[in-house]
Amino acid sequence: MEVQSKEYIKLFKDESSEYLNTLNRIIVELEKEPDNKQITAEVYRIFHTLKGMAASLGYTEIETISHDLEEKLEIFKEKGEVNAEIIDEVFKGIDKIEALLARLETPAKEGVTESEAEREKFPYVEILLKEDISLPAARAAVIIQRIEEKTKIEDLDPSYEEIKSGNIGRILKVRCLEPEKIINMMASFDEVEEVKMEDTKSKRAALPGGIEGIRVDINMLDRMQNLVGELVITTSQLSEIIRNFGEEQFQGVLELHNRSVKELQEVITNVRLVPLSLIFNKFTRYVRDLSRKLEKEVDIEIFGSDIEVDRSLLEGISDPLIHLIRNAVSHGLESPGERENLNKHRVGKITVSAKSIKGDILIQISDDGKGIDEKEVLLAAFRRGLVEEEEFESLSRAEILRFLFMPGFTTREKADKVSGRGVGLDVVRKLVRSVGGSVNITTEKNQGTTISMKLPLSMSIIKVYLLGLDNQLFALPMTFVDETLTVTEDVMSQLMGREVMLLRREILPVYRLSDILKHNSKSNGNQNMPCVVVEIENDRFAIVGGKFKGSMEAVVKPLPSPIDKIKGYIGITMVGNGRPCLILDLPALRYRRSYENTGS
Amino acid sequence: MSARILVVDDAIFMRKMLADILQRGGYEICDEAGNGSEAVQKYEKVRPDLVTMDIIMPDMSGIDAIKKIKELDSEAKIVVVSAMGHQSLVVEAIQAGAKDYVVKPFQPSRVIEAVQRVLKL
Repeated sequence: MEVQSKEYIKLFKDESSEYLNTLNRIIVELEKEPDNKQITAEVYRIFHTLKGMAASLGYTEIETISHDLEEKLEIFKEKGEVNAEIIDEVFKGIDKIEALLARLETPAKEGVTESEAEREKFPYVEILLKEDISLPAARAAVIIQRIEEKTKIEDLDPSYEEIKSGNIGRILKVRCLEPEKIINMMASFDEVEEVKMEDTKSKRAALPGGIEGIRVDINMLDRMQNLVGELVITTSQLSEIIRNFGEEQFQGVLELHNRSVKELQEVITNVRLVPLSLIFNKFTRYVRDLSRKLEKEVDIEIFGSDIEVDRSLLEGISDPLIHLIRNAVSHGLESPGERENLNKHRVGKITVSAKSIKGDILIQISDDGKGIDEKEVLLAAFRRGLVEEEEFESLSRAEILRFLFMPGFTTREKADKVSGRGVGLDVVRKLVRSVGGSVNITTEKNQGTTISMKLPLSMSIIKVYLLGLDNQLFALPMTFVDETLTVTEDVMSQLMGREVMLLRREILPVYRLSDILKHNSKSNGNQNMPCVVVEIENDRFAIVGGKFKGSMEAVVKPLPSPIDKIKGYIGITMVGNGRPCLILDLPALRYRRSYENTGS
Repeated sequence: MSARILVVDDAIFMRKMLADILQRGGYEICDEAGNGSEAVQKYEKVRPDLVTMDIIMPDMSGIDAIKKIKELDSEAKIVVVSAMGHQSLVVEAIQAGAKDYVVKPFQPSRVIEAVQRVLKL
């Protein structure tokens, strides 16, 4: 026996959205190869499935749309070739279904609470059982069965599980799509004393039914992850203590304990992972629609959509990615005519790729379009007074491209009618940074542009290098670290009033750890010093000084008040011996530096 | 033609009592069974219009018998006849597909009402 509930609707919605995503992707392909029988058959099959799913929940509108398209597609399946008309119809159908899905009632965010509005839209029918009936739970079960023969039950209060355990008073509340039907039907039940619509003002919340899989509030997962983080820390503290005591009988237990904690941490991290395909699959359709509007011809290739990332990270990068793709289509790629004049293929190409590198995720968006002209960037910077004419010669390519990350920076003097001026890279940068990542850009005139986003796998556990200075430990997020090495004072020199170092023919600005942290520790002469090469948004610099103290996976905790007011740190973590350790905000550091430089 | 009913109960006394009540109500008792597996066999053979089913029986419980009968005939109409105090079993029986229930000790009118109601479905 099946009880319809919010869980089913949510499942239906999720699964249908996935199907629509797939449809959007493969229909774009079908549009290019109208005689691809395999895709036509797949599209047909998906609509067939959607129809069945919608019908079983009584969503007749979705069912009808799917059914119509299924029927039409059947004809084309036999013909072996589709035409532009049916493709347009399918796209329209997808959009309609998408809109209908959006309107379906689902539990707020992660299904824990439901809004008063939702309760009002679908009120419960309250069934009051007669006082003297025997086995009221069994009577409730019979009533539920009768209702289910007529209409789908969305929710029950008390739940079926509770009813089964005999936990029921005289009131049974049922929520379904056609409450009037129930009311009419119940009138003929001898055991029912009264039946009416529930007063929606009543605050009693519905209890979730007996469902095997449960969905969890993301906040709960955050808390779980936090607690595991604490466990990891206390475990390593315990290890330290036990190691000092040297008690052998503790060691075995401790090892088991360590293993369990590690495993628990892994499980919780994995629970939060979702595949990038959830957003990547939307790009194909998006690019198709946008390129049509702009009268451009664009092919998009997507790689690595099976890579999984933390759920909150995925939410964080969805908008920046769309911005970047929009920019690539509208500003990066030329029109087919322009491209032919340049001896390029008239169809422009956009590539979205994701890969995981050393525990970080690298997402790149490339186009083979115009590229960004350095000279234009330089002129735009000049117009905005960001650079003097005499400085033109001294600026490196990287330094010039860095202007692109300035707030509101644009090389276009006028906004485009359709796509506006394009979303500035500073907006993208801000969004990406909020999830602990960084953005880089490479571009070549007439060859195209690649924007790279480097992201940590998770926002709350990050890999860090530890540097010690004056008996204090500091952590540097590895996401921004390009390499680590040791250097001596010999490689240091001064250039235009700034300390720099030479690394394989590259001049890197130098940041002394003691300066960053405003410590007055002296340089240790000409001994080997740790050097961390940082790369953020096309900016490379070196952090020199302190002592390497290894690396670790740090559980990031927000800074407690009042030290959260101090700029320059993203959070705090604990190291094995229980000592707190500040995590440097490397991107912010860079801005503090340039700020100080312009100030001086 | 009056509806044909299969009466299932492990106690002969209960079978007799139920049969009497039902016959007096104008129904035909087409067969009787003393346990679950017998009930399934007889159901297949005689295809009654309705079954009254005890829950606690040797050799195959009423709930399992309901499930088996439902597999044979998803439209099967079954009324559970159960003792007081077995509420969760009755709920389970209904989940398994029984259409209604009567509680022992029963008043004859209750039995007839339940049977009438289910036959009308």
